[in-house]
Amino acid sequence: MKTLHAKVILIFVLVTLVAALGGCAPTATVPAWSSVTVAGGIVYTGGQAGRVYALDATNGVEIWQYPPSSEKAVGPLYAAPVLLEDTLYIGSHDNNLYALDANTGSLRWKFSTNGYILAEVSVSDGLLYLASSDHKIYALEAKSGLKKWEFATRNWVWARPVVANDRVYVASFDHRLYCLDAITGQKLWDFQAGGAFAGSPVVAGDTVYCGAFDGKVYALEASSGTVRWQFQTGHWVWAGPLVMEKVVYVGSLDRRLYALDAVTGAKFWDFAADGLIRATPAYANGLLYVGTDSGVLHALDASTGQQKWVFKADQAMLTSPVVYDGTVYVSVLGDMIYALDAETGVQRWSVTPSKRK
Amino acid sequence: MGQIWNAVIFEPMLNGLLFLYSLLGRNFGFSVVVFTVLVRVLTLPITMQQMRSAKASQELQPKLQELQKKYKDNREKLAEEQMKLYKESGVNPLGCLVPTLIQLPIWIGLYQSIINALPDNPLQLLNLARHIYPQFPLLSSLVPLNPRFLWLHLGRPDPYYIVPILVVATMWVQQKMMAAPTADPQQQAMNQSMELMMPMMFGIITLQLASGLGLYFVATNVVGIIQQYFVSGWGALATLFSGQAGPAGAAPPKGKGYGRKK
Repeated sequence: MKTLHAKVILIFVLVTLVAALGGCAPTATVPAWSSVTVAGGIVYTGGQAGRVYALDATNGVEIWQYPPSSEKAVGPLYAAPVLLEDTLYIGSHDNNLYALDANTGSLRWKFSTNGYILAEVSVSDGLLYLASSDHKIYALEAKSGLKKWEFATRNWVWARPVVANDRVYVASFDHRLYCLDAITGQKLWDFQAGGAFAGSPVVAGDTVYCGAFDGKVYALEASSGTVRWQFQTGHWVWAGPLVMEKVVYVGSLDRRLYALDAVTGAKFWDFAADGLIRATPAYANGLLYVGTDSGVLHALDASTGQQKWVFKADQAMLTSPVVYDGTVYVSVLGDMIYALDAETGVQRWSVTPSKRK
Repeated sequence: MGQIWNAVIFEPMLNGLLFLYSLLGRNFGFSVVVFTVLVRVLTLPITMQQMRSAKASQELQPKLQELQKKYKDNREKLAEEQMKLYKESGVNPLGCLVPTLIQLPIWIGLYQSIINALPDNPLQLLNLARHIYPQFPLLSSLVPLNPRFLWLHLGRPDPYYIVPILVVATMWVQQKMMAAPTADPQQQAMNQSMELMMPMMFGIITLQLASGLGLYFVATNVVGIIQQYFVSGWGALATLFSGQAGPAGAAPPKGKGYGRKK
């Protein structure tokens, strides 16, 4: 009888275990962080709820949403919407790129890929450059969404392609940074790092800067891909670098923000942040703004790295802040958007568009 | 508590799995199977204790049944005599349970490792970054891992349900081999329902979970079947396939697994 009792206990424990494991199973909802774009007094954002919102930048009041509340949401939206003239472009986890009328939020066209879209598009000379998790880069006509060419890498592309001097620079999880002809999509060169590239490259002058999962920040000759310098951090570099006045600012998952000499890679200073830095910092009026996965936004003196103020949100801050007209706009996990005074960090308003009635 | 769990169980398992992946031609399926065999080898003393305990309990069944008959109207006395018998025989009635409980953290840790090693979205990748050992550049250079193994994406459920079926089949075989012969109809019914319920439950759960975990269940069951064979032979499985009724109230001869060829 005792062994019978033992078996009953065993069954109970195992039922609990498998129920717990079941609870850990991936759910249909894909968690996503929302990013913001601010232009013309309007904040544009997406997020986990799968809707694009246009909000009044002064108070967060909704102007429109896509799809309308009466219609089913699209997939979760990681990328920041990109505004070109009166069209807003945003990619979704449902594999589609949506082109919306920026004034009304109505759909103009959409383009489907075979993988989820996490990165912002780049626009140059009437062409959109779109990265997808189907390993490809697409060049589309910005007006119609008509495909001009595509280029396949060997793994996901989660980073925004960057266009400069008729070339497209593409960072892929296959550990390679590709340089393509912007008109034809032909590969001009590629550079292989010791880890995946997840963050966007940046081009400044004749140099391409990019961080990789081998913990290094690379400066490459834009014309050939030859390494000019590299700088080792303590963990993956996921954030795209920011280059301002010959200084490269880059965050690492080692919880530090580095200021490096853009010419030599020598370190000017580093700042120990409150958490992992996943996104590119923003710069305005001599201040740097960088968010962390602990929900802290640091405002730093760009020349010294000294902290000016700090703001603590309730959720992880995994996207780049945007500074517009004296206000820092930043979104956190859970789709909440904060508007803070850029000088003092005092909160002006906050809103979660998907939860507003 | 969470930090201790991560530092002691989850992160060593996750990074160990990644290291195996780098050694085994970057094949995550092989890594899971080899990892499973390693875990089974490391936990062999616990498993053997569990099997010996189960066998000893089986051998006590006739005496326990005698006690049940003798003291059927006196539950207190029955419990007292049962405990006395367990004590005299050196058998812990919970001896089967404790080793299984010890293995639970390994299952949970492995599941976490499989899910975290195969991120499918940025937040999962960020979580991997929190637990990977950055001081070993080799491990970071493996990201993202190739999730493909045969027809499977190891981070997602098996679309053809083959892995859940294998989980059910291998677990049922193992359960059947471990089943204790008994004449007590209540316990017999309990055994039979457990032999069916457990595999079915794991099969249903595997339907929804990452197939990598299902692969672990199959591998660990196969290793368990081999271990069980060397301890007690084919057990009740042999009688099932020979078409005979199970031995009522009779335990197998001491030291010999019935059904196992000598």
